[in-house]
Amino acid sequence: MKKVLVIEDNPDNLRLITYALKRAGYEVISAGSGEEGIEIALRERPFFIIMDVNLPGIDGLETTKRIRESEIDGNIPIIAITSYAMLGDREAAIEAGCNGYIEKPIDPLTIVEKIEEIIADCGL
Amino acid sequence: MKQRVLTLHSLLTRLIWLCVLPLVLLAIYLAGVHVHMLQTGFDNEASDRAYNLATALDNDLISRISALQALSASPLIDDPPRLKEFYNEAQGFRESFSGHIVFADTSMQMIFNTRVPFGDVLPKLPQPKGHAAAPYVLSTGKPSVGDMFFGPIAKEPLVAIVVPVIRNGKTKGLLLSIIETRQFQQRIDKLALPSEWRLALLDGKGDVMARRRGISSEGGQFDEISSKRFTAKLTASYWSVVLEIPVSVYRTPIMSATAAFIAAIFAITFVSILAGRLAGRRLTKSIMTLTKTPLTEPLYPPIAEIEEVRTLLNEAAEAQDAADKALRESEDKFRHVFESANVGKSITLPTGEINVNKAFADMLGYTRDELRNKRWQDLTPSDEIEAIQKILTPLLNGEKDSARFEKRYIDKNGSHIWADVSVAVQRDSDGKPLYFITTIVDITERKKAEESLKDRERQLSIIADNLPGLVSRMDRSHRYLFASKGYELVFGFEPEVIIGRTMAEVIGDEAFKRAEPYVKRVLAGEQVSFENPVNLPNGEIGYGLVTYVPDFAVDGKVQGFFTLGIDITERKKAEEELKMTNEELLAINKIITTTTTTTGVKEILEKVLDAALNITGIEGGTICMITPDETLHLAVHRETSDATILDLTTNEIIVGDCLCGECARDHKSLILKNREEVLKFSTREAIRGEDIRFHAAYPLLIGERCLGVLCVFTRTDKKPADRRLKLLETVTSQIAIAVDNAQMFEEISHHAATLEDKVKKRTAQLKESQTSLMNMVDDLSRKTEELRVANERLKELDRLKSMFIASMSHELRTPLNSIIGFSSILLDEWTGPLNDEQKQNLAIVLRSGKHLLALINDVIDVSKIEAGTIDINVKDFDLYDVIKETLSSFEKEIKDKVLELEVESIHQMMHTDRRRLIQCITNLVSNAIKFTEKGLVCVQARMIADFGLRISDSELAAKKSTIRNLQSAIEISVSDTGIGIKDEDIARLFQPFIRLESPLKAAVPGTGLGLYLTKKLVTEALKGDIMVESTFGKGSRFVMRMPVNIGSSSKGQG
Repeated sequence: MKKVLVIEDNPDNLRLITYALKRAGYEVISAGSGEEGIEIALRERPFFIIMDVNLPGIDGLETTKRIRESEIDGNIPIIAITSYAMLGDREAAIEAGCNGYIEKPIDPLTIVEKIEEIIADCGL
Repeated sequence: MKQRVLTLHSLLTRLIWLCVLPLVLLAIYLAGVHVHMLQTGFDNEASDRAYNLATALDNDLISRISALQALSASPLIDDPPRLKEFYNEAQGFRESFSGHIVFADTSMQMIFNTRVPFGDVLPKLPQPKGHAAAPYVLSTGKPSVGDMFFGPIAKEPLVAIVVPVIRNGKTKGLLLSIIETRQFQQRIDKLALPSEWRLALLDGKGDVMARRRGISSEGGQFDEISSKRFTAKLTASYWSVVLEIPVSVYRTPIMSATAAFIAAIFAITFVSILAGRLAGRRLTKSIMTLTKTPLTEPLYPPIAEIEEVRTLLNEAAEAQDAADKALRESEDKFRHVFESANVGKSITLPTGEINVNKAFADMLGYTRDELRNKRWQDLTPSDEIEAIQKILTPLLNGEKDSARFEKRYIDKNGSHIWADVSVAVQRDSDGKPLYFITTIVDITERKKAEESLKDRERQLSIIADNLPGLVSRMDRSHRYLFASKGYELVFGFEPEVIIGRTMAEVIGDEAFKRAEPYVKRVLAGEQVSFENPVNLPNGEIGYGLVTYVPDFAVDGKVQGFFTLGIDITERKKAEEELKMTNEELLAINKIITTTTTTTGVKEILEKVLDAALNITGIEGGTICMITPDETLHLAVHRETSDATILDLTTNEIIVGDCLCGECARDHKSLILKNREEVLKFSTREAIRGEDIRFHAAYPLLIGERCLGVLCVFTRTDKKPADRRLKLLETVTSQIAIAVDNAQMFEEISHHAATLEDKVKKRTAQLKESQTSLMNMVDDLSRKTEELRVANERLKELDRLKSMFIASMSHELRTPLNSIIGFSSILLDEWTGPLNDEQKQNLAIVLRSGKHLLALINDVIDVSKIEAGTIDINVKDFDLYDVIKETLSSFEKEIKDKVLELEVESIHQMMHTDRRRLIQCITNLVSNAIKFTEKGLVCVQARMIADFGLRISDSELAAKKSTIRNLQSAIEISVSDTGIGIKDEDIARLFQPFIRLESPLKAAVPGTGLGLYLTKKLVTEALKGDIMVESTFGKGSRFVMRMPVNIGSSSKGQG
């Protein structure tokens, strides 16, 4: 089973994403903050990371940057979860090093499909 | 005819040739004779020799014939038995004649032959070719000698002598004597002949029987061409003797004789020439000594005749010498003069050839050699030749002996040299011209000087003629030496005519009188200037500013003077004009000063009258003012008689009466220029009694109102100029105004006191109302400020509201996301199977959640737009892709409702807010699907040329100005076959929170914000517009138009 990391502070959202990913056959590990996410990512080397942009403490973009700057091979796909209202988030996410983004509201029926599309675009 | 001249030498040579020639001819003749004789000698000798030989042979033959005849007579022949005897007899004959004897019968059968023994059988006689003797003898009976034949027995060439044996007159047989030809050969060989000669014995047919060959006759044949031939016929036979001498041999004597002769001729000629030359030289020398005195004693003895001549000559020569010497001296003198003269000299032949001296050659830059063989015509400009020939003609004709003229020569450089030429003709005794002696003096410099002088004269004359004035030169007795053209114009005298006339004659006595003192001064050496009026030919008077400049001679004495006259008529006129204008201005000035500085009516009138008199220059005047009762009141007067004053003040004139009354009535100036006219108009005795010779009355008019009358008059003959009267008339209007003003001022002064009170009161009132106004203004501005503050607070509140909505909506959305997300999972039975009732209920939860989310999203957008915080996020994309993407999300819905979807789009790169465009298309398509039960939903996108149709004019103008700079625009329309919109509802369609009444209203979910938001987005974010057309019950069509490129994106964060 492929291990994937979801960094999300909202437990409802985390739960919903986890449902969808597990259903698709991924092993889901999660982190509630950026710092925790980085730590887990370095330790676990997940297949990909789902990153909520709005995080307490260091936000999703900063977290992404730090992961990219770390010793982890830069190829690890990071998919940002952005807010519908926050127009600038999308560009900022790509700029910070995310491979793609998914907008809220999360549709659990289609989210995995979208994630896999993005990963396929990365060439993995 | 040309006389040929012979030298003595050639004469003598000819003479000698004449002497020698007959001798030579004689010698030729003698040589010819000699050669002829030589040849004749040759010929004779040759023919003699041939003849002698022929004769000798003839004799031999004849003797043999005779012997044979004698033998034939022997009777032994007739007796055949004795024939043997006859044979023996014949043998004897053979011995004596060394020739065998043959006897033959008539049939030519040999009977015997002494060559063979008697009795041998013998053949017939041979018949040789040519002349055969035997047959001949048989036929003729006469003896004959035959031609050569080859003997059949003897076997060698032979000849036969045949004699007939005649018995009783009949030929009984033939007796032949056979002779070998070698006998003839032996004989010829013995002959003594010159070595070159050739000799031959020929028989009748020409065959050679014997010959003597010479050196050159190897061929054996006789040659007619190269040899001379002599032939001698024999008489006893047909034979002949031929003698040939080769031509070379034959001609030898001629050649030798000719050679000797030529040598002799040469010798003679040489000797005679030598002699002739010697004689010629001798004679020449002797004759030469006649002309020259021999320096040394002559080598030869003198010739007597020549010596005599010499003596005579010497005498003549001495006389000649003396003459010659004299002549030579004269010639030398002439030559010397000619050669060394420093003026050009030329001896010119009538044909034109010239012989010039060095000075002339130098003058033209040639050497004398270069001018040899030249003609004067060669050195003369072609245009002058004819003229010069005309001058020379009388000299050639003998009409004149000399001429002097100026002409030009062409020098070596081609430049022209002016020359003064004197020509004298020299004639022979018959008076024919021999040559011209020409003296040529180079006057080019003088000519140049003359030219330049002329040029300067011309220049001066042009200057003088064209100066704007008169220039002349006078002598001491003031007569004109020169006058410029201007004189003709001013005085009517042409300059040529003026010369020599006196000043008084030209400028007129009157003008001269004025000028005379100045003339005296200038002749004393002073330069003077003065103005002098002149009567012009046209009758007018002109003014001249005349300057006289003394003309000093070299000795310092004044020999005359120059006059310079400048026409200052115009200036004079201008000056006078100026003066007059000045006076007029002064008068006007005075009047104006009066009217502006003076307020009292009376005072003004006084000053005005003075000014009027000043202008007109006459002494009398009055001003009468018209009172309201139409009478004329005498206000001021000058030089008016007491009687008149009394008359006018006691019994005032009414309008229409007398001079002033008339003027006041007619509002017209009345000018009477003499006493008669004055009397005609004046009605008052007092005035009539005065001797007024000029009277002018002017009305003082202000518009149609006449204030009074200004009169000026004089009792003298000095009448004012028309110009001044005109001026006065002009000034009267000014006077009228001044008077009127003065009258008004007096009136105003009168009212001033009461007015002041009134003003004070009014001012107080005004002040009061102003204070209340000020209070009102203060009030207003305070209220405005309050309004502004309130407005700002409202704005702030509005912003706060929008922000509140935005942030609240965000907070609302987060739980909604969970509701929607988890109900989706449940409904999809991720967490376990659901029964139908649960499913239906969950579906309601999901749908309601989604509706609420859409509502919140729209509210957020609307509030953002209204708060002005909407973000525009410009991207480049293909319109086609956007439409395709948007419509793909409706596939399920359309399928479910069994609708038809038509899409028609162009590929067009856009530069605009992609997300907002999708939102707008989505809203419209969503609406179309919602409100269409069956049929068609159609989405079309195309380029449009004209953007902004069907929007109001002002909007249109505003849009157009925005769009104009953009390259192009697109139109996206969404049409359906749905329920349509009522006409009255169309206006409310785009208002917020409006949901139209429709049968589907309950069934179709909606926020009431969709079209409002769409319109806001199209206009605010996409810079376009939106409109709708619809038929109720049939369908609607929404059309969005927007530019392809909206320019750069606006920055910001939502």
